[in-house]
Amino acid sequence: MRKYAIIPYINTVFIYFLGSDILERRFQIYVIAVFGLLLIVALIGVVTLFASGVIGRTVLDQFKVQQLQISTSVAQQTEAYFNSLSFEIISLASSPEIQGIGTSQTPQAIAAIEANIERAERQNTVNSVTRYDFRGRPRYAWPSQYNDLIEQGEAYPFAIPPELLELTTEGGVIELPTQIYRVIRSGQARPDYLLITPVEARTGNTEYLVYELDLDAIFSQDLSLDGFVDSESGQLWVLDNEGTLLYQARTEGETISDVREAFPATILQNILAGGDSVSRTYSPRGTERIAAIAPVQVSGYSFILMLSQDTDEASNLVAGDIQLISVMAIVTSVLIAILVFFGVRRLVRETSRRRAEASAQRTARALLEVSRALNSSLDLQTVLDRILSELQKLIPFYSASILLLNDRGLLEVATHRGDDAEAHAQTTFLATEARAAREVIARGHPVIIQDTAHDERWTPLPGSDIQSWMGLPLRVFERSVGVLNVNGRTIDAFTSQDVELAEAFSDQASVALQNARLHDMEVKRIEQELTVARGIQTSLLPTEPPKLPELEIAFTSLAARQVSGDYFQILPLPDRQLGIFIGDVSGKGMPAALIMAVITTALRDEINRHRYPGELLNALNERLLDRLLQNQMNSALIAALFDPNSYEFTIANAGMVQPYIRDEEGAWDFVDVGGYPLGSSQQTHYTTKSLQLQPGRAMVLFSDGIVEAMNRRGEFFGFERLEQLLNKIADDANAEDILKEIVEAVDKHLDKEVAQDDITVMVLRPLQVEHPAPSAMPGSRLSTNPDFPNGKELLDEDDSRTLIAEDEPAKKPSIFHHLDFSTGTESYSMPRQNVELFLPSTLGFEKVARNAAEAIAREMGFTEDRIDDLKTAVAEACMNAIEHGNLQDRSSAVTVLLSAAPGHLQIRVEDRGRQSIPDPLPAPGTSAPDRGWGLFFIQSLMDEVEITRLPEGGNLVKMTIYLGKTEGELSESEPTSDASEWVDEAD
Amino acid sequence: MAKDVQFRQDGKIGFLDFPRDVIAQTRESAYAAYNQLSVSKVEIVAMNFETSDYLNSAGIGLVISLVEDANRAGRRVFAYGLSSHYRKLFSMVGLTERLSLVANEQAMRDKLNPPPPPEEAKKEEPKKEEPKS
Repeated sequence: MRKYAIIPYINTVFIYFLGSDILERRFQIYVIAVFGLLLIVALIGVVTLFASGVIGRTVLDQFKVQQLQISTSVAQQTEAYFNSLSFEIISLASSPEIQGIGTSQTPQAIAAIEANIERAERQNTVNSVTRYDFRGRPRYAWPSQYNDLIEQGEAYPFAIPPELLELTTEGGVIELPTQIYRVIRSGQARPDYLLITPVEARTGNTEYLVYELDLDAIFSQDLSLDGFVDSESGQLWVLDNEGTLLYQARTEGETISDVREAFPATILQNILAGGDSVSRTYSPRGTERIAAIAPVQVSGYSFILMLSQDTDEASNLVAGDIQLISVMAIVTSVLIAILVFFGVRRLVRETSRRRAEASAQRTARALLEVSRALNSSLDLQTVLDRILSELQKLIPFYSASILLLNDRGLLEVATHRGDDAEAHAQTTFLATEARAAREVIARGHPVIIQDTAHDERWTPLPGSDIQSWMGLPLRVFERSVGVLNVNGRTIDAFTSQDVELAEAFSDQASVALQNARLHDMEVKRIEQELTVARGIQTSLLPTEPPKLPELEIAFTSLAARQVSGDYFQILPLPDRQLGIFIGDVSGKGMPAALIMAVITTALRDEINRHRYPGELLNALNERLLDRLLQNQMNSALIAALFDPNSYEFTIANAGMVQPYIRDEEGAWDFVDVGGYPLGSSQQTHYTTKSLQLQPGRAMVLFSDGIVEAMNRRGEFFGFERLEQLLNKIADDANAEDILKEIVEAVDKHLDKEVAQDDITVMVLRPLQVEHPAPSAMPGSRLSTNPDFPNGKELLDEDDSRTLIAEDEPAKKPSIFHHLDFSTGTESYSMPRQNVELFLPSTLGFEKVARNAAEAIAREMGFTEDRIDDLKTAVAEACMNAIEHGNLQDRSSAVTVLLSAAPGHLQIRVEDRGRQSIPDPLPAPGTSAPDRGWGLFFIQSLMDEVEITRLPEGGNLVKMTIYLGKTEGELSESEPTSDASEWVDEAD
Repeated sequence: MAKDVQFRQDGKIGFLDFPRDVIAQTRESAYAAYNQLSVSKVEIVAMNFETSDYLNSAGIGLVISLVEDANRAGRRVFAYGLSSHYRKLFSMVGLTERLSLVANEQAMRDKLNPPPPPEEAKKEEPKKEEPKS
């Protein structure tokens, strides 16, 4: 069961209503907004309730007041009624009929009473009217049945209260109030209420006129007190001053007993004593009611008026208001909610937009930083590692790795980052494994698995707890070469934003990867080229100084790059002379190496004709000028000729640093000899300087890399340091020691800083020879070598022997070979000397092999014709290897091995076999008249040719050319040609 | 230094001046020059190799193509300025059957328009005449 399965549904709802996405942060804002709305509604509800309560309480208070007002009104009305009644009875008592006494006047009196009653319409409220004398004896009464009782002498139901009778005496007229008296008839529980007013009888006595009041009728009929009760729960009572219930407005409903319980007697007593009206709530049987109690002072008597009503009535009174308020509150709430909703929505959208813009800017900035970081290195492994470290800054992941396709089409883990390294112990995945990653490569698009447990493409890694996975293609030149794996530890670990960001990131990573690979390829190509160049250079530079008894030589050459622009040669010359050369080609690397090869070849050639340095440099400048100018290069070169017989050095200098010599006193100074570098000008003429250096003195030749060696403080080694150093060296120091001192001093000066220029130093130290040979070395003899019929053989210290041409042959170059004789026989054996070249597979480089072969062949003494044959064959073999064998793939080298052996030169040209040499070879011109001549030339010009398909797939062309063979010894099918033989074949 | 084959005309002779290196890359300029030669309706094609010091098999194949085309068009072809080595190679590939190898331009012109022999020479060598092609 997925833990967050509900999220998409919520998300859908939010998207539908709000245009939001739960997967995004603004979802939180919406949730906050919703809660905010609920809170507002709740607050409004509380406010409404509070308002209702306040209103209720206010209304209740008002209701209380209203009740009191009603009671007051009832009291006032009641008082008015009784005042009126009192006025009537007083008026009646003042009438002559009532004041008169005597039996004769009785009927008039009764009639007056009756008339008065009728006029006042008191028939229902005044039960009887009785006239008493001052002793309290009834004289007459109305109605007749009461008068009958009097006349018949029967007991009268009412009597004047004794306290009044004590006041009235015969003949005494006193002031008596008209007031109501509560009297209890004998034999009855219910009291009667009599309105008694004094009558000034004509007898001179104060007598009495009494109304028997029917209070119930008064309250119900004349006062209609029930009219003050206008609700079903309302009730009205009238009590006398003894608490006797006189009147109850409604027969149903609240009874007086509940009120009595609610109101202590003290309250009634207080009211009866003249206190103010009171109003209070009480709760009989769980129902809240409100009661108002008011005194009614009438005709000298006090009644108590009580009003009671349910408080619900009060609520009902304000229910409409509360409803209205509630509705208004709801409407207001809804309006506020809507306003808040749209406000929040707008805020959210604006915030989202700004956040999106900010996020996009952040993403762009982040990607820019990523791009800078990724492209800050071109090392492939560094870039791969940096891809993961930079990715982690953008997308938090559990772990990540990069799989790259290897040559066999298998995915290999190139780098990994994260805590689950143990789960990534497998470094190579077969074609059937890592299907999800394979899908990324096949589609060239990202693949996202949000729940690896339920995706059949996912192959679980043992010990891994990867729950979600994102695979991004890494492309080089539009081709997927690997997968960037991003692993999550939870389901749905990657948001759409993560995916979008990761895609942009993978594009950046692909660019960096592409650059790194290009760089890698370029570095390998350059390394191959440099290896080739180094091979060329190494083959052309001496490996150890020649051994001459009269001169000790020590040298070293340190390349600033893999291939140096510096070069040097030490060439033995006739008469045991030595040609000593140090040069410096402008520029470094492959171009300098090639020019160096050209110069070396030219030097070795020209010295056969121009032994003396000045002439030699002039000849070289003339020969090389065009080529150097064409390549915008030049070369400094110092040439020294050493004659061991006279210890004389003849020096010419084409732009090199002037050499230093040590005089007899041990002081060092430079030799003032100079000139422009070779290739600078056609007009240059080099002069020579000769000087004798007897044993004990020394000379140092060096390139400018010595004096221009700069340390990290920007200080050159300079001439001053060099002179100081040289002057400190012991006089008896040998050449090796002097060399060592110089190199160490420069190295110390550099202080681990890399030298910016090549450094070449050569130390020449003449030695004293006990038996100097003026014309030939001891043990020398004429050579029996057929190749050197005019040469002589020198016996060196290490039993090696040097063949020296006695006289320069007119057409045959004087050749020096340092040869070891393995036996003491007359025949000699020359050890095989190999020169190996690695040519880039680019047409044109065959000339390098051609030149190298020429140089070696010339050194071996081949004739010019044979050298020409060799040059053509070597060039054709190399061209075939470059064009067909390697299909001009610059990353594949053509290997050329030139093996010089006694009597023959063997050349092996090997390629990678992209195309095989056909077997058998087709006849030249078969496919087209202009094609197929290369191998034809090789086979025709070389003495032996062997073409082999190598087991590892390459082609090998092995050619051998023998010394001593001449044109005439070539096969008869091969035409010979000579400049003197001009044949007009076509004619 | 020119890397291309240059064309120039002198009357009925069309000169093809070959560059220092005669290699596969020379083909395009060689055909362009040869086409000018065809347009100019020259009768004699003079291949000048005086400045050439490197002809590889592709370059020699190029010469073969040009010579065969010229022969088909009925033009006579001369080549001069070649070292002995390349004369040997021309001979090896059969070019000497299709063209005339001469030492230089003057030799070619002499061959085309032989100077009248001096009287003495005529007397001494009356039978030595220019062979007809």
